[in-house]
Amino acid sequence: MPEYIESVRVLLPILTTLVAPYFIWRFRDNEDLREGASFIAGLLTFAGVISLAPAVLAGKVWTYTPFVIYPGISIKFVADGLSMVFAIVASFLWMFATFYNVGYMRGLKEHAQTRYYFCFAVAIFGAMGVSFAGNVLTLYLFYEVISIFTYPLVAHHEDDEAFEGARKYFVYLMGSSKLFFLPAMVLTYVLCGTLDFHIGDLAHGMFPPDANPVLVQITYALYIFGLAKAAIMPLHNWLPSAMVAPTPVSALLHAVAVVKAGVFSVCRVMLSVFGVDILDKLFLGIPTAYLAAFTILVASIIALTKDDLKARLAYSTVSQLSYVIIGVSLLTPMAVRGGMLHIAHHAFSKITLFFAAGAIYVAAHEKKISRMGGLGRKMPFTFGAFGLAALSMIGVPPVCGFVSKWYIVNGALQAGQIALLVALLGSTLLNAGYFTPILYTAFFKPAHPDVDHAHISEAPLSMVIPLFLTAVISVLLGLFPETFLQFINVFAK
Amino acid sequence: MTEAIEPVIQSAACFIHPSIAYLAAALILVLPWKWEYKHWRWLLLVPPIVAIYSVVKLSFAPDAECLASLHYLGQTLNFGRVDKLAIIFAHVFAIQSLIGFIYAFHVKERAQHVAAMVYVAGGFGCVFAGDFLTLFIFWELMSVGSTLLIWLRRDPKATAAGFRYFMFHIFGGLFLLGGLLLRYKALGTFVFTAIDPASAQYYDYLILFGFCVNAAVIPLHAWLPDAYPEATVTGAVFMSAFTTKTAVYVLARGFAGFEVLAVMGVVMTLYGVAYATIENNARRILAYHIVSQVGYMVAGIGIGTAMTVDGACAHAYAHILYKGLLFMGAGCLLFSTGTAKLTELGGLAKRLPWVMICYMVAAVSISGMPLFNGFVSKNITINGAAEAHRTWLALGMEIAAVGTFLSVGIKLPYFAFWSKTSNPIELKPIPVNMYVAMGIAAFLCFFIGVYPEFLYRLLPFEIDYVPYTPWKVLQASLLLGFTGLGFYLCRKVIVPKARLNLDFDYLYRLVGRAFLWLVSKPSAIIDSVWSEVYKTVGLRLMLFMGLATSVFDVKGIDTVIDGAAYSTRFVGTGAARGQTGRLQDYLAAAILIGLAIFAAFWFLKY
Amino acid sequence: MEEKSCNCFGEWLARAQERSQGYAWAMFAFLAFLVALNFLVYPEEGHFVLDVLPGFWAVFGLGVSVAMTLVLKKIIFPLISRSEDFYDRGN
Repeated sequence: MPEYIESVRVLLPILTTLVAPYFIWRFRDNEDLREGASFIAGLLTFAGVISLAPAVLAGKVWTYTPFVIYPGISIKFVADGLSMVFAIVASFLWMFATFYNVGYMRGLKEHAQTRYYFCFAVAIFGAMGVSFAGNVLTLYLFYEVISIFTYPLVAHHEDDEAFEGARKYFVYLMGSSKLFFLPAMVLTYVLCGTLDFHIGDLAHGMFPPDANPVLVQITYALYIFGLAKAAIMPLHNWLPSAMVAPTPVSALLHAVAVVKAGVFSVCRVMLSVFGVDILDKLFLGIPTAYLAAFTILVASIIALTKDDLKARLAYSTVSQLSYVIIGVSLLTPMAVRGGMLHIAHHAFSKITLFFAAGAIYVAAHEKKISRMGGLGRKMPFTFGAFGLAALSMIGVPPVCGFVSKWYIVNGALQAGQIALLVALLGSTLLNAGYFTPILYTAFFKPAHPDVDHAHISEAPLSMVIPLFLTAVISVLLGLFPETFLQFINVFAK
Repeated sequence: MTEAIEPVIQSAACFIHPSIAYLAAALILVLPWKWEYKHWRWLLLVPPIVAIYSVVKLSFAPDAECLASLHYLGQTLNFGRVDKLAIIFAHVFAIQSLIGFIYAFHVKERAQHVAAMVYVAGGFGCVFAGDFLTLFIFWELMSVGSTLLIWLRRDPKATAAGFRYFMFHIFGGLFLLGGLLLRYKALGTFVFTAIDPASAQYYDYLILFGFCVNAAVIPLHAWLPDAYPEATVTGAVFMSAFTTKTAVYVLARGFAGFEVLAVMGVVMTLYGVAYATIENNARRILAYHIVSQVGYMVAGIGIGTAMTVDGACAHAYAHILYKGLLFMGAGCLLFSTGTAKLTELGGLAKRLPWVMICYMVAAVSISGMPLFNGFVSKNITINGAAEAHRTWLALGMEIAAVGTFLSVGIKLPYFAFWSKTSNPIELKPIPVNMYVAMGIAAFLCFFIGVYPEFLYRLLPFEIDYVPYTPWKVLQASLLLGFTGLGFYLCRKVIVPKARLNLDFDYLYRLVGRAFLWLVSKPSAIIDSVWSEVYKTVGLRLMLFMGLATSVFDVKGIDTVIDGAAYSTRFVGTGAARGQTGRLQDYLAAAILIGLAIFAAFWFLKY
Repeated sequence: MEEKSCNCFGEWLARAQERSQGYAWAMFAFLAFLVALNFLVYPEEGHFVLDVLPGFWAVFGLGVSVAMTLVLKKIIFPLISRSEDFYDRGN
């Protein structure tokens, strides 16, 4: 049992993100104050999250229960190693995203910017809530908050295409959570008598040893299909549809907050609700791993066929998310660590890629890869950062993607799953197959005849600086993976 | 388990890993500060000189297991395993890198130099790697560097060829990775040592496969003639040396004595010269030749006796020098005339006499003419094969020797420099540094030829081979002389034609196309089917859910289903008000459904 | 070293090319000399059984080079050669 610290401090990041939307709305008439409010909120949130770190690294767990609805059903918050990984990633990248948002929204003179920043902040509020959720109900509530408040962001452009995409997004996420997650939550309560996560060790979960195995398996299946934000096939289609959103939305939310909330929730469910032992005993881990492997390969293959840059990145995200799932479902120590590490490492690399896609759109108004010939020479920093992040996705050392993949691959070895090992290595080849053409088209191909290069130069600094920094961080994380590993090691003792 | 990187330098005699010098120079050049070409170009010569210094110092020091290591990802990476086998390769790598950078001295594009430096750094890293993990990291680094050297030609053919090259090398690298991981699982260690052919496991064969891709063993060789002719003029010089010889080194280290290598090696020697004889593009002829010459080395390693492995190393050493010189010569032709096709060249001897001389020095070296380095190195392997009673292999090698002289020693220069009385093609002047580089290489080819001790001193095993005996000299002269006569008699038959010869890459392309076709059809079908499912089932389901919770807020659900402008208005104005309302609705809806199911189970349970 | 005011070496080569017939005869003479030498200088034991015979390597060199040229150019080349834009035409 871990040492708990009862303290309101764990609510700090959640409160700052709850209050931020109010200030954003308040300052709706003054652009700079409004963006400043976003940024300051991000800074405070990040500071709040970091302040929790030392105790967590020392092996303690923060907790606080603001409301108790019924015995075993409450709104409860908890901060352990796994929470810290997601919370740090989301809050840190929110600051970068705010800078980037400024450049993008002002660069394109977008409408309804207040609504945009407002919903962004609330979505991060949801992400904070998910990461610090202490029981299934809290997780569910904040998970839904994210779905609801990202809808206006996805539908931002307000044209037919946007509404179509947003509707699909919403239906998938809401539909799956209502149909599957809710019953799973209920079943959990019925079988365990409580909704509180089992914190402190991975091996055991909430279920008592005499729980009906069939019911446990059904509950597990319901959870997996209820967490469509993790984009496991066949419930992945919302992700490419959500690409109608403005690119910063795609960047932060669909590469970081929304999807990471999904895979984080899957990790939390697998490790803190079920636990490694039960997953192993009831043969739940390996089928999940195979489903994830299928997702990885098929999504990568589909990505090969897409010419739209964001669509290709969307399918790449679907594929990469399943790396997290496959890592955790292999159940061996190295694989589980690798999967959780990938949550962080993928976030930094993927956000760089989406930021770059947005920068390309703002600077050159191009979305299709085949038309991006020679753009790399005009936008060297953007494409240079893209290149670094692409190397991370492919898994070339020493960029961070290599480190998390290394752990997962070793974990697959530990589990003796050679077929999955082959799938993982094969996906590396596929990743190279769909990222490399983007790079060589941009740097080494001549300009597309229909594209006028004379007026193209780098995107505004407020966009290029964040994306360059996240690329550099990706490299640094690869050289110093203990940044996130230390939290994971504490969690996975 | 601390994951921090902790460099550990264990040798008292300060070990400068050559790769550091190259990577540092690359880093300095890649940063986008405004620096004039005439200043930064001198930086190009620094890493090779540092490398030569370091390697020469190491060649006088005793062997070392691990001179430098790093802790990363819970493993200890060994960067400094130094012994005679590593030294001989590092020695020639250092010298060739100096020659290569002198040859590329006139190139003003920094990116090309950065790519070359990364590439060379990878080569040194592989040679000094003491464990498979380190080897893999530098192996991938070499892939990236060399791919850039192809792409930087900025030609549509080069772009496509570079992509194929990169994908194929990643493919090979994955076999290496898979093999080394499975080996780690079985043996618990990453240490890179010799593998006993009698007890090799499937994972050892996976590693062998990965090595063979870089060594261009048939049928994994097609990337070489596909990509090398498309590389930059100066890049090809580097590439001719490093990728394949690093592969030879790792094969010598790990797989000496594997029978399959002995046979495949000889197959390579013959296959390479066969294609070289019928090719038209000068650089493609040389690329096929690399396959052939590497075949000698691979065969020598496969036979596995001390003499044949020594032969392989000596041959690698000499090969780097003369092959580099051949590529430099062909590169000068390409640079000056704009083409490498023999059908368009010819009659250039009097206009580019020094290029011709340097080329001929390399040509006679590769053919094994006495007084040049090929003679003192190639025949060690053939001798060794014969002494090991591998008569058929030795015969194959001798036949390939004839073919070598025929295609690279006579045919290429004849049709490039002679065959026509005059050639009106316009010549771009060749910068001095290219001549200097070729001169140095030519000198070394001759120097080692007349003073073979320089090379023999570096060989890993003791050798008592005497190259200059009357018989050996006569035999070589007879062989070469009469091959020349054969060419003279058939000179009308062997005229090159401007055609493309199919090789295994035809198969690779077929496979690639089939895969893409197979993939895009089903994915399009699945996509459309799934959209249908969503429209029919998904939306209906949502409607049903909406009805079920309509008690709480029909309007709210309706806006979701319709996706109408209503939601925009709803959302646009006073977002705070509208959204929190929605949240409460959903909270309520969720709790209602939850309680309903909960109640159902409660009753069922009891 | 480029073609500056005096391309002396180049000029010499040009003149040599005109006198190539003479050089050819010199070459034949040298080859005959080598074969003659072969009767005096030979190994006790060759790599292959036959190579102790005088003139073996001469025949080997000539025979293999001619055979190689003919087989490759006359048989193999017609089978595997295609037009230069074979791959670009979408094959």
